[in-house]
Amino acid sequence: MAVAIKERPWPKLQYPIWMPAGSFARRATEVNPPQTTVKDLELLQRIGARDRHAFILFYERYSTVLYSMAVRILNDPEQAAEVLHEVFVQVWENSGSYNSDFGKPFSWVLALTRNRAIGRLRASNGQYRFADEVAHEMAEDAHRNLHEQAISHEEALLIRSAIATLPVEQRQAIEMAFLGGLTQQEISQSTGQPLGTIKARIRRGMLKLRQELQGVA
Amino acid sequence: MIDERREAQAAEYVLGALPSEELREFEQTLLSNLELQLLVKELRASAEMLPFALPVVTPPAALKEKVLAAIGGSAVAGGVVRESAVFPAWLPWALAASFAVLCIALLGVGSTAKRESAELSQKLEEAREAQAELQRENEILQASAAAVSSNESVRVAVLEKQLTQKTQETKKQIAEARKEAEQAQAEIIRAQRQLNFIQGQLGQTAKDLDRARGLPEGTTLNQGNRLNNLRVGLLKPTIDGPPTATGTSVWEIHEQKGLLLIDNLPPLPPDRDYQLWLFDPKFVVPVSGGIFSTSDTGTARLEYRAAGLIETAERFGISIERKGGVNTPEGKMVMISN
Repeated sequence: MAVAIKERPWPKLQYPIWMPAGSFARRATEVNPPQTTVKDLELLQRIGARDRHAFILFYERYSTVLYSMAVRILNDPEQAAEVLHEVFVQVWENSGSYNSDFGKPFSWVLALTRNRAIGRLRASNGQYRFADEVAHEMAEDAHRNLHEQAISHEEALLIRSAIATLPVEQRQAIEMAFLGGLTQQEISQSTGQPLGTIKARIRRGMLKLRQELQGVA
Repeated sequence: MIDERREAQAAEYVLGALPSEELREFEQTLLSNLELQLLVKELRASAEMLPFALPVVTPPAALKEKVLAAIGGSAVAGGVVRESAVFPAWLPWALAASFAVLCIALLGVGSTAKRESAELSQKLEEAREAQAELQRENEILQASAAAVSSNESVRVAVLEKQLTQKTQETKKQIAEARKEAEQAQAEIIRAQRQLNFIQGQLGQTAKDLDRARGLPEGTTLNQGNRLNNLRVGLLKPTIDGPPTATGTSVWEIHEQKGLLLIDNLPPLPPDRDYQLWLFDPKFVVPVSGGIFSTSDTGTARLEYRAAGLIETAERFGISIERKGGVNTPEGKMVMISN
């Protein structure tokens, strides 16, 4: 499995005095460049018009994060590559019928990839295994090994920091549901924890994540 | 205000972990709950950030070629596509023109923002109205709950009243039963007295008989044999008779004669008579023991003989008949023996 490691120095950002630390304006400027979504929409429109150049841009922007997720779900790079192949062919064929009412373009391809990967996992009777790599990598070097094709370095750093603030048991419950496609009952059986505990962990974890990612997500 | 249950459901919903049995109900609620829609949107956006926290795994380079081949054609030469381009000389002028266009666009954006702000204000107002409506419903529910509580109090009071009435009725029944027991005791004593009197009379009668037969004084027949020939019946009122009436009838089989003593049986009109009846299984109908009337105090004493030969006087009865009596009972039976 090839792992790309990129190193970047912590950027020295200069902000005007009317953008104090923590303010919405500064936060938005730091981590949420709005043109990303606009570009995604434009790209999909152009792909719908059979623009191969736009398709390549879209592939380069999201293939890494989607492939990383598929590998994580399936624990099998070959199957993950097959999933990614199917997803991008589907993007090429169906982008013309994409409707922004369904969500952002990234939400669309994320759902396509996630559903296909979880479908394959279930078909092979495999089971998702949680590995707490976030905390490990945060401890090693927070700036290394970030997804920066689709989002900025700062955004990626902020997302990883936000997820690292969750207790490991909350991360586990959320990840097993979202990436493992497991029901509450299945998570309860897999972890040996009562169903009520799993529900509480998912609720608290997601609310905490929402709070931490305000302005990014 | 979203409660914890809904928050949990919203979190499970965006992760795809909400059980199917809750899914329909949640989606129905979601349709009409603006605040819940906002929460779901924010939670979904947060969940979609999760893949960016995963370790980076670069897809194989051959995959891109394979995908491009599948959609028909190959990648751009060199396999790298850059979003940025070389700056041409006319770029500053283009930037200036773009800036002007941007200013115009910003004016448009400002107008759009105002419109969106107005729409949001309207939605906020609608949400407030919905909240006020919920508040009203809550008050109505609280009022209903209070009414239910009040109804329960009334029901308890009614039950308590019924219980009190039942207790009083039971006490009354016990008192009546005690009174009846006392009356029965009095009747027994009275019957005993009548029996003693009759036995005395019988003793006297036996002496008279012995004397008439020429037997010397003191050589009476065996008393046990005499009693074997006697049939004694205690008469009690029927439901058609006066409740306090009592009576005793003795029938001597050997002599084919009897004695009747009555208490508390009210006098009859002049066109009516009481009539005594003897019940012998040998006869299909009761046999008359004669007619009688009672005194003003309700007492009567009758020495009688039957209209037929009585072998077994199983029971005695007294009926009210027309003056002079009848051959078979026609009127109401007012007293009957055991």
